[in-house]
Amino acid sequence: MADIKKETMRKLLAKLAESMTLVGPSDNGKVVEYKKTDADSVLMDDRISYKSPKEFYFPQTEKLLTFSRDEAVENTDVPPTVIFGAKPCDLEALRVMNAVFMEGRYADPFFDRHMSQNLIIGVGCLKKKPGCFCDELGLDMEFSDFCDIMLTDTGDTYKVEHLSEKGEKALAQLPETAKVTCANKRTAKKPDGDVIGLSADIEDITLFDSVNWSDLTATCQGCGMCTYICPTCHCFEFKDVSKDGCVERYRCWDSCIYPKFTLHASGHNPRASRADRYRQRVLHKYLYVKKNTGHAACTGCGRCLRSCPVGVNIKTVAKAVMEVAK
Amino acid sequence: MSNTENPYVPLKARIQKIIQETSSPDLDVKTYRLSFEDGRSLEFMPGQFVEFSVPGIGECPFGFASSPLTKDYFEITIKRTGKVTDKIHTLKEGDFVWIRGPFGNTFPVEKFEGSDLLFVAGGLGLAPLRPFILYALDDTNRKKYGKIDMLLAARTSSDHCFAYEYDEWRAKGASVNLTIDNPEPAWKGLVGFPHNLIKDMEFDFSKLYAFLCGPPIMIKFVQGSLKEMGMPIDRLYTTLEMRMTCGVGKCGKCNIGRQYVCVDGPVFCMAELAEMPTEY
Repeated sequence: MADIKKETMRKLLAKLAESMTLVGPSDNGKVVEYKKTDADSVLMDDRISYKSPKEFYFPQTEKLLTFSRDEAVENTDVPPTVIFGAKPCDLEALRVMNAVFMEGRYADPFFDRHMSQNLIIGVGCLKKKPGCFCDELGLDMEFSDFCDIMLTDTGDTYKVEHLSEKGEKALAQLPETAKVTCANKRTAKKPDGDVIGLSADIEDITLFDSVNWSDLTATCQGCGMCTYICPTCHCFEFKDVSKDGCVERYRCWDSCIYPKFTLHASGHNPRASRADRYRQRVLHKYLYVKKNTGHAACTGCGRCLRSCPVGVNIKTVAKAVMEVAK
Repeated sequence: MSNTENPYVPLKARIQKIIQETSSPDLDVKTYRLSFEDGRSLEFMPGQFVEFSVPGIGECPFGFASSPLTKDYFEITIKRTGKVTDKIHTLKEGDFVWIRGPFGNTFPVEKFEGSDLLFVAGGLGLAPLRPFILYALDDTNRKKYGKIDMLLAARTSSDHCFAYEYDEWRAKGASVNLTIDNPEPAWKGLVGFPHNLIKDMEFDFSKLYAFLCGPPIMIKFVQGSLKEMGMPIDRLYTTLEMRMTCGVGKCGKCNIGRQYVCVDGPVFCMAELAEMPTEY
């Protein structure tokens, strides 16, 4: 670990930006958002972004293929990107996404390419923001090791540690940061108190019918906002686009909250009601993904409850589900 | 595993032959015989499926309908139902489509060796069972299985898929029983729903495995009849269909609880389904 002045960090980012796209939190006058930026403008304060940086490793629309006469040519064009300032909740969400896309019978080559091309610099939070509940999920707001370099904000300086070879190499690009070691590599603190969560031992069927999903989600308008700004939501659809006489296939974000998401061509829909769909969202996050990957797919970033137009609070719902699970 | 390194990348396939399966005006089912342009064969086992693309229109999952032992081509049977299948039904022999796969699990065919097999299909539900039927009836495998019975239901006599093959199946020792929903003048087969007719069939339940595929309501009632007759549900299998964009367990559309129909299915034992949420 070493102390590095924020000015020096900007110098390092400028150096990295010579060969990579720099993405970081920026203030657009209304909210903080992740976008392509430059080393002088990137925010270095404690605010949390409205959306997570997920679009920079799982783009909202991404070209997968171009159909030529004889071949479907895979798009391998992924720009090397530095993602600066990811919060521990977003890093833990990336851990979940990585498990979903890279583990199991199939690895996703497109996600893999983003992961290998991205350099991720995390920054610990100094305090909880309204709506945040990472601590209630057993996560450490100050630290996550699922990144290449982790920073701790101490005012004018960052405490810096690298957590991967990629991170070490990045720091070596500037003499002032080359001295950083990972000798004191930390692990995340486990917060005290009760943790919101379901045991992976619970049978899927136990919570499927015994929770009053209609009551819990009565106010949901089905807008799907929560799924777009969630750092772990990863559902998608393919869309073909004809362009200059050839067809390109894109992967686009989709949402389990939308009725057409699971609609069969026959007209049958396994998740026909809004309550069915909200149940999928909640049980997928807290139970199914946990069973399949070992991680719950909610990291308590609070974005969904901060932005829901009718105030649906997934934390309240999760707690109600836990009561039934007891 | 998929036949390309990247499971999202399809290969170009030529339509060798199109077989019209049904002749009712409101039910249009065709079988497409396909082979890859680069000459490679598609290794699969009964129960698996492919993702079938018409570039510019879209991609849909369909189960294999041909024998896994046939290496020169594979067949996919498709009912005209929606946007992509409408387009597929306009294609001609010699046209090209794009295929990726095979995906999904398989009927555990070795587990059933030494047992009697019963196939109950409703309409197009015969298509995903046909690879296993052809596999079990093949000369190399026929002796591994005992009695092979089929009860194949269709709405009308014009709607039985693969009807041109039934005599061959019978010649290989299968009992092929056909039924339609309502009487028709020239019809010599059975009339009525499979859950009633099955009660007149005789089985040795100590060594029977049954495979049901068709409309959910048929599966439900046939399962009920078989249970009443003494069939344990851990010897009943079915294959499910779902909207499946990716086929590789990522896109989030086809899960039933923690299980993804595209990788953990589409073949499920009824005992397994009984423990799962009824979200299909």
